[in-house]
Amino acid sequence: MTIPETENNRLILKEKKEEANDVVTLKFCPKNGELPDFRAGQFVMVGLANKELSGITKSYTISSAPGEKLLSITVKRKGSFSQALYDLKVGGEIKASEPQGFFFPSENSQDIVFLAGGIGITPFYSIIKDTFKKNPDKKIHLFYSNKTLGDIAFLKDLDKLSAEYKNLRIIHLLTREQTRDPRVKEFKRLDADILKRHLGDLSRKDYFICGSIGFVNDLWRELKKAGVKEEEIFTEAFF
Amino acid sequence: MTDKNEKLKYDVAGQDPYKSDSWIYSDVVKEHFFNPRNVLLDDSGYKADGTGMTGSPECGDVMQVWIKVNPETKKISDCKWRTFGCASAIASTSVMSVMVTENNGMSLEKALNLKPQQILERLGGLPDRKFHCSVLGHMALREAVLDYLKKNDNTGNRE
Ligand SMILES: Cc1cc2nc3c(=O)[nH]c(=O)nc-3n(C[C@H](O)[C@H](O)[C@H](O)COP(=O)(O)OP(=O)(O)OC[C@H]3O[C@@H](n4cnc5c(N)ncnc54)[C@H](O)[C@@H]3O)c2cc1C
Ligand code: FES
Repeated sequence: MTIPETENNRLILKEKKEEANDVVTLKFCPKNGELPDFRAGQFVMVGLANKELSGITKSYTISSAPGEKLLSITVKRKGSFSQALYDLKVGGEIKASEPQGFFFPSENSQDIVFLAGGIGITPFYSIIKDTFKKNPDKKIHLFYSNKTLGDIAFLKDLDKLSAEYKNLRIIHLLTREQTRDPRVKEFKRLDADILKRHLGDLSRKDYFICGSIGFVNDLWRELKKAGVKEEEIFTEAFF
Repeated sequence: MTDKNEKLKYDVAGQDPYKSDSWIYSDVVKEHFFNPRNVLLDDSGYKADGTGMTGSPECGDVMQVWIKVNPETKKISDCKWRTFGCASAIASTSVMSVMVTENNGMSLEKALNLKPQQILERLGGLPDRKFHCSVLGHMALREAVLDYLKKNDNTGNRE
């Protein structure tokens, strides 16, 4: 599927920031006109001008929050498309679709649990910034699983956010590295026992799972086994 | 209760739906592929209350879904679909059309919030490489529900 040719969907890379091993944030401004409106948690479909990759589109979650001056996506390099994005130079251009997707808490959710596997942090990073700016009374627990300390994207920014907002609790998990870093509390794969230990009662919360297909499916099953209702679970797999 | 049902579903499918790095298709997938339910090849005479269409950025395949809604219960009373997608898309959407219409129909809220994992569970899993096919049906279903809500004086917001 190609992104329609319009004047307004071209974005120019303004800034680039290294976030973690193989992960960069790309910050864009519009080539013409204004940035599109979006809800925190939505994604855009991206197209590249490269000859070999033209005609291919891939989805990337917007990692900036609504209201920020530039529109960001945060990319982990894996195959050829994400590598080309990773290598994009400041001044380079992409095509982006209208923001889309429904992966965000409703206004009524008060007690929210985010389960992020690796680069699956991107929607949560945007939603956390947006939610607390508007409503610091909401409660958010973020369980963030990575292989090693060097893989944790937004580590410092998340530290700052949790220092600023007392209702944000972040639980870092590492699956392939032991570290003395006091921010990391768990050294195994995320499961229902860990969730219970930190949350107590699992009921009456809204759970959002984002990461690879395997991560999302495993945690969906863990939550259901622990008695969480399907209506209280929301998923986004990066495929 | 849930656990017992799940165990049954795994047994029927003969494989764990979450260990899906192989190309093996479950019996449920095969059964729905060879006998798809609720397909609508010619929609010219079908009076839908809501319609939805979606295309896959991964493979370019297209899915259409039509629903009828019971005006009293606000539940889905009929769900038809058509696709130019692959076997996995056909089986997933067939299973989905059964899920949203069984037991007097699914509420619109639940249908908006249908997850690929619910469909995968019923299917007995799909290879990871076919995950993108399994989302086409419920993405088109969501469009159809939003279309119905829009036509019935509701903005379709989830809140
Ligand atoms: C809604 C949504 C939001 C997303 N948001 C983000 C985001 O914020 N950030 C981000 O980085 N990504 C995101 N993604 C994922 C992104 O769209 C790409 O899939 C990802 O960047 C990989 O694309 P690629 O073409 O570079 O790699 P691919 O060519 O797809 O390959 C990725 C890796 O997997 C291996 N691989 C390829 N095909 C298979 C296969 N069939 N089976 C097993 N292994 C295989 C390759 O060898 C390679 O190492 C999102 C996806 C979705 C659906
Ligand atoms: S390959 Fe396109 S729907 Fe399955």
